[in-house]
Amino acid sequence: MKIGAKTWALSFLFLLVASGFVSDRCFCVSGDIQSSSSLADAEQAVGQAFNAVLAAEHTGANVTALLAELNDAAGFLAQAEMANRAGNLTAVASDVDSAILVASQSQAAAVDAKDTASVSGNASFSSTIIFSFLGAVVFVCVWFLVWRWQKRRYIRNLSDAKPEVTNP
Amino acid sequence: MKLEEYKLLFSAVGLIGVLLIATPALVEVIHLPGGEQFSELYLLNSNGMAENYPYNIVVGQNYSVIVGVGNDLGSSTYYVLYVKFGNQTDQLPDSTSATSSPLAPLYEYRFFVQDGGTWESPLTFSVTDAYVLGNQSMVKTLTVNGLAFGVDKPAAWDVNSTAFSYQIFLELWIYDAQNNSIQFNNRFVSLQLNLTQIAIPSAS
Repeated sequence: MKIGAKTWALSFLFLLVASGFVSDRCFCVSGDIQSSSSLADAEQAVGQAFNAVLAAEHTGANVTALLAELNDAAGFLAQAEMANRAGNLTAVASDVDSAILVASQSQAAAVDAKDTASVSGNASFSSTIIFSFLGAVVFVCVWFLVWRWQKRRYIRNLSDAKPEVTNP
Repeated sequence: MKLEEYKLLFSAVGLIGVLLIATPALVEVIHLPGGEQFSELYLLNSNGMAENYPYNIVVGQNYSVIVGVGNDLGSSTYYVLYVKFGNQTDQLPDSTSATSSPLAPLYEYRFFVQDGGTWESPLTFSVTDAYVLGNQSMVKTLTVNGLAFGVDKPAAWDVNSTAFSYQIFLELWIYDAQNNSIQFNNRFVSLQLNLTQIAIPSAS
């Protein structure tokens, strides 16, 4: 009976230690998963912000300032990636937060820039087409009048010309 | 000159004039294909010249080079540059199959470059912990831009080049906006190194 109690006590102790080990492992694995998922979030945030900047650029917006801001986010993301490889989870969390914050600000600014560029781009496109068309019509009209004037002058010169008699 | 010839000349000049006036509108509507699109990756010494790169490396001493990327892809681009460290047996990126090196990156740069722009940054490195045993050397720690990385990279004495050969190489990756992922751009530069003047560990 005494041996049984000892065995139970040892088993309990073993289970306690083992559960502590397992829970520690679980915590570590959970920490890894958390850091990799937050890194993925940061990567996605920077990627989406860049897509927004790219869309703004295609609309004709000046994206120099936006890219400079986005470079800060990318710098934080690079720091987070390196900290993650080094196992420094505290630094990962801090850098990931900074990257996501700056990237979301850049994305919002890029959407605004795209809207502004889109409006001014449409106005510029319309005015270019209209002025080109009007310019071409005016040019054709003026050119036609010049042609008529030249034609009259040509005929007048021809009729004013004195016939010359030449000996065969 | 006959009247018909005169008319033809007037019509031709008129047509050219109309085309010239309509050029701004045509430029808005017709988009001609651009030239060749590519990214460039280069490595310069600390003076900005493509010569006298660091080769003989002394443990504990800092070495600097400049790494640069040029963007001629027609739009702004998101680049990732991985710094990797290997010995003479490690697999380098394969240009033929366009695959990157399987080695894990140590340091990385992430940055954006506008079309036609270039990006440059210093790359400072030092071997901070290494030893030699007979014909074998071992680099234990490499510091890149102030961050120390445990590498534990051995190298056998190379009789042909009379060196303990290592290399730092940089791989260029580009963000693919359609797939939301970075892809190896099949561009890399490497810096050949020879580990010399090992600090002998003290007996104590």
